Amino acid sequence: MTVDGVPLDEAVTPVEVQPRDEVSAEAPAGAIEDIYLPPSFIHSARGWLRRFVRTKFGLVSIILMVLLAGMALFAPTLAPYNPNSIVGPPFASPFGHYLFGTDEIGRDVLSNFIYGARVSMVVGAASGLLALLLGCVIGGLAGYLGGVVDVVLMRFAELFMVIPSLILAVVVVALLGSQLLYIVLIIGFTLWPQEARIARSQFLTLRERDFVHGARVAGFRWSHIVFREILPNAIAPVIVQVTLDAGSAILLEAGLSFLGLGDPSMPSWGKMLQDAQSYLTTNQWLSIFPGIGILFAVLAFNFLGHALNEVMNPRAPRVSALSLGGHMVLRPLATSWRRPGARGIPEGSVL
Amino acid sequence: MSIPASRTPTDDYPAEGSPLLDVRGLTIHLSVRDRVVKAADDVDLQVSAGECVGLVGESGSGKTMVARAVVGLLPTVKLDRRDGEIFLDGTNILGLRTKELRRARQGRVSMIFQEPASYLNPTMRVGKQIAEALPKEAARGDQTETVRTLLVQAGLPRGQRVERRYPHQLSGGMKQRAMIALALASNPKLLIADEPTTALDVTVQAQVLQTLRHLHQQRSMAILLITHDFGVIAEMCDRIYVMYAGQIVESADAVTLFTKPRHPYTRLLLDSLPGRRQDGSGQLLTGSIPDLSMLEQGCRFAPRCPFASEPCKEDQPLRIRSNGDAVRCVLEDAAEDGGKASHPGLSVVEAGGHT
Amino acid sequence: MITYSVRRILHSIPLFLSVLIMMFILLQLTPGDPIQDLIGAYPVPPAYRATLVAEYHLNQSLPARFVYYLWNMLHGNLGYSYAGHTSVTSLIFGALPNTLLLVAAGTVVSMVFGILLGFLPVLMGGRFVDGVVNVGVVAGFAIPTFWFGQLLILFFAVHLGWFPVSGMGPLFGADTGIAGIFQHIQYLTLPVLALSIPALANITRVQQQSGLEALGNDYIVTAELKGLSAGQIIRRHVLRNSLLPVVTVIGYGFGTAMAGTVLIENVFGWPGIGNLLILSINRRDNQVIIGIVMVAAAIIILTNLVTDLIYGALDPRIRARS
Repeated sequence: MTVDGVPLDEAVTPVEVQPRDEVSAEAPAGAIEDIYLPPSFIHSARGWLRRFVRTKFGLVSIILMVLLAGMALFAPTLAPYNPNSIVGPPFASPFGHYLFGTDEIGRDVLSNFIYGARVSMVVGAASGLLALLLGCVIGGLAGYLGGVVDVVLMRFAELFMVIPSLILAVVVVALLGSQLLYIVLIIGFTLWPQEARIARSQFLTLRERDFVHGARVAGFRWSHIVFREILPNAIAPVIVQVTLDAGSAILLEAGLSFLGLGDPSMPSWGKMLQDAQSYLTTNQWLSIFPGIGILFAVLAFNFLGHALNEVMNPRAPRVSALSLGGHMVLRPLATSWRRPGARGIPEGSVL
Repeated sequence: MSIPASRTPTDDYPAEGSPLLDVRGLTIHLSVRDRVVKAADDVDLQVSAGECVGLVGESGSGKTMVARAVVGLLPTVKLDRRDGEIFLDGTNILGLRTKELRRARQGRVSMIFQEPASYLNPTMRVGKQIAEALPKEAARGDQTETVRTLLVQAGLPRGQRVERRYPHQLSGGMKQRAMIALALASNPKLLIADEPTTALDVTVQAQVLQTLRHLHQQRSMAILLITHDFGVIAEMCDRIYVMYAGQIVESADAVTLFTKPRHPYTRLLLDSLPGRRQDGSGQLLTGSIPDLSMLEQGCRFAPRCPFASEPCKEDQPLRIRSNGDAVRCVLEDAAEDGGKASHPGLSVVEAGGHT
Repeated sequence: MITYSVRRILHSIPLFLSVLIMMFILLQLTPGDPIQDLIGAYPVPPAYRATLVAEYHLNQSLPARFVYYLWNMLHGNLGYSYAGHTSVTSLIFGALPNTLLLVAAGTVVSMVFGILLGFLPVLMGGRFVDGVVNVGVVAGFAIPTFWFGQLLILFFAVHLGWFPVSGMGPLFGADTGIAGIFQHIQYLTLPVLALSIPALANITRVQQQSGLEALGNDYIVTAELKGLSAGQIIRRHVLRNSLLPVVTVIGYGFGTAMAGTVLIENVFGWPGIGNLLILSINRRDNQVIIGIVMVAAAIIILTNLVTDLIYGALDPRIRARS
C-alpha cells in the first residue's frame, strides 16, 4: 500500500465485498427476465452518492480532491510566480512576503508547491487507472479461465510482487529514462498485481454464481457475460484497491523524484524534498511544505478508498463479544457482530 | 409419527424437590437500531434432575435467547430490559457478575451448539480443548486419560486417537461428539443442547441422539433440548415446552403433547408434519412469525389462528392445570370448565390424528 | 509439513530465475552501448573492446549470456565495477550488513510496537482507543517515510541535538565496548524509526483486525463456558489465533523494508546497499545495479519462504489445504 510497497498478502485482503446479485426491491420480482437484469449494483447507484458523502471519509476526501485537483488544474492562475524563476533572495522565511518562503536559489516555494500538485495528481490518477486496467484484465482472465492460464498469469504477477515496487521503479527509470510517461507506466506496472489478485478471486467466485449460469444457458455471448454480468459485480473491491494504490503511486513518484530520478522538467514535491535534504541543518522550512503536500494527496486517495469501502461493505454495528459472560469479562470490547439479517433483527441463532 | 412405546404418561409430575433449573418470569428485551425486540416475555421453565426436557419453536421464537440466558450468555449491551430469575441448582444466575457466574456454571451446566465447527478452536488439538474444560485440580497425566474416556463416552472410539487431531480433520458428526465430550468434561448436572443435530446428516443425527440419550441415562444428566424438529423431541424428551414469539404457549409431558395438543399453534404445527394426517384433512399453518419489535397487544398467535375471536385481543396469560401442564390460550378456559365443544377441531384431532 | 515445505522451496527457485530473466530483458531494452554500460562512465579504448566482448560473451545470444551470468553468480562472481575499482560482490557484500542491521532492527521495532498497538483496541475496547489507533494507521500509511525521516532529523537531531544528523558512526574515533554499543544505537535510532513506519502501520492494522475477528468467534463462547478466566481466554484463544496473519505480514514486511531502505539510507547517509544502488545509478554502474537487485530479490524470496514455512508450522489448516 505504500511506496516502500507493503504488499497485501493473502490473509489480509482489506475489502471483501459480497457481490449483490439479488434483485433489488425496486425491480419487479418474479419475472424470468430478472435473472438477466444488470446486477443490482447499478440499481443501488442512486442512493450511493448520498451515502458516500455521509461517511466522514467521503466528505473529507471529496474536499481534499477538489482542492488538490483545483491546484493542479489552475496552477498557472493560482501560483503567484513562475516556479522556475528566481524571484527573490534565497532562504527567505515563510509567512512573510513569500507565503512559503524561497528555496536555496531564490525560487518561490509556494509556486513550486502549487505546480507540484500536478505531477502527483497525474501520477496518482494515471498509474491507478493503469493498474486498474491491467489488474482487471489479467486477474479477470486468470479467474475466469482458470487452469494453466491462471497459473501462468499468477506466477507472472508474483514476479512483480517479489521485487519491491520502489526498487523496481528505481532500476527501470534509471535504465530507461525518467520522462513522466515512463514513470506513470512503470509505477502502474509495479502496482497491478494487487488489483489482479482481487479481480481474480472475484471472477473465480462470481463465475459460479447462478446468474452467470443462467446467462450462459440463455445463450448470451461471453462478452456480454463478462462485461455486463460479472464485471460490474467484481469491480467494487478492485476500485477500492485502486484508490489505495493511487496513494502508493504518489509516494512512489515522490520517492523517485527525491532520489533524483523524477521528471526533471516538472516541479515535484519529491524534488523539493531532495533540495531540502542538503540544507536540513540550516533551513527547516524547505522540508515542511512539500511533505505536507504529499501527505494530503495520499490521504485524499486513501480516504476515498475508505469511504468507498464503507459504502459498499457496510460494517454492522460493533458489539462487545465478551459481554456474553453475563457482564463484561473485560471492559467493553469492540468486535463486529454477525452481519444482521433484514429488518434489524439479529439473524438466526440469536433468537 | 408415533409415540415410542417405551414412553408412558407419568403421574409424578412435577418431580419432588426443587428443580435443577427453575426459570421464572424471564423477560428479555433487546434494543436493536432504535427498536425494542421482545425476544422473551415472562418465560417459565423447569428442568428437574435427570429429566429430559424439550424446548420447541421456530426460528425467531426466542428459544435460543432463553438457552443463552440460562448459561449466562446474554449480550449486556443493547439490553433494554432483563427481568425474572434463573435458578440454577438454587442460585439465581441472572445478573451475576462474571466470576460468580463461572463458579455457578462449573459442574452444573454445559452447552452444545448447532455448528460444532465454529465452536471449536481450529488451531488447537481437540484433546487439549477438552482438557481445558476439566476441573483444575486434575494432574496432567490423569487429564489425558480422562479426555480419552470422555471421548469414548461421546462415541468416539479410543483407537481413532481423536484427541490428537485438529477439528478440521473430523467429520461433522465427530465434531459434534467432540463437543459433547467437551461439555461432559466438567461433569454437568444439566446439558443444554441447542439444535445439536440440525446441521448433521440424517443418519448421523440418529446416532448422535442415541449417544445423548445414552449419556442422559447413564449419568442421570438432565438435558434441555432445544430444537424446531418434532421428531427429535419425540425421541428424546419427557416434557416439552412450546414457544412462540417469545412466549411459552404450551407445556406438557411428551405423550400428552403429541396426542392431545391444546394450543392452536401446537396443533397446527403437529398437523403440518408429514405423516401426521393420512386423510389430507386439517388446516395449514399460514403466515409467518411476527416481527418481535412490532408486537401489538393481545395473543401473539391470533393473526394466524383459525380459532381467533374477540377475547384474543387481550394479552393472554398462561393457564396452568392441576397436573402442571400449561396453555396460553383463551380456549383453554372453556375446556377447563369441561365443555369439549368449545375446542373446535379438537375432536377431529382426537379422531383422526393419532396414526 | 514436509511436503508443504518441499513444495514451497521448489516454488522459490523458478521465481528467482524469472527475476533474473526479467532483469536481463530489461538490460536489453536499455538504450545505449552494452559495452559502455558495462564500463560505466569511462571511455573505452577499442582494443579493450574485443577483450570485453570475449569476457562477457557479448557476441553470443541472450540465453547463452544468461546462462553464463547465472553460472558466475552461483560461483559468487557478480562482475566487476569499474567505478568502484573492485568486484561487484565485494561492493555489495560490504554494504549489505549495514542494510541488514537497519532492516532487522526496523522489523523488530515494527513487530513489537505493531502487535502491542494493534492488540490494544482488542484489550481495551471502546471507540476511542479504536479510533486513535485507526488514525495512527491511516497516517502511517500516508506519510512519506523519507519526509518523516527528515522531520525526525529536524526535531531530534538539529533542534534537540539528542541524535546525530546522519551516518552510521563518527568518522573518527568511534567508541568501543559498552559505550560503543550505546553510540551505535544513537546512530541507529532515527533511521530505524523512520524505516519502521510503513511496516508498523500495516502490522498494527492487521493485528487489530485479526484480534477483533478472533474475539468474535464462537469458540470464544465455548472457552467462556469452559470456565476459563478472561486472561486465559485472551492468551490462549484470542491472541494466539490472531497472531497468525500477523506473522505473514511481518515476514513479508521485511521485503518492503528492504525497499524503504533505499530512501532512508539516502536521508540519513547510511552506507548500505540502498545508497550503493543510487550511487551506482549515478555512475551508470549497471553491473552493480543488477547485482543489487538480484541480491535483494534473493533475500526477499528467502524471507518469504521462511515466513510461509513458519506460518505452515503454526496453522494446521494451511498444511492440510496445500
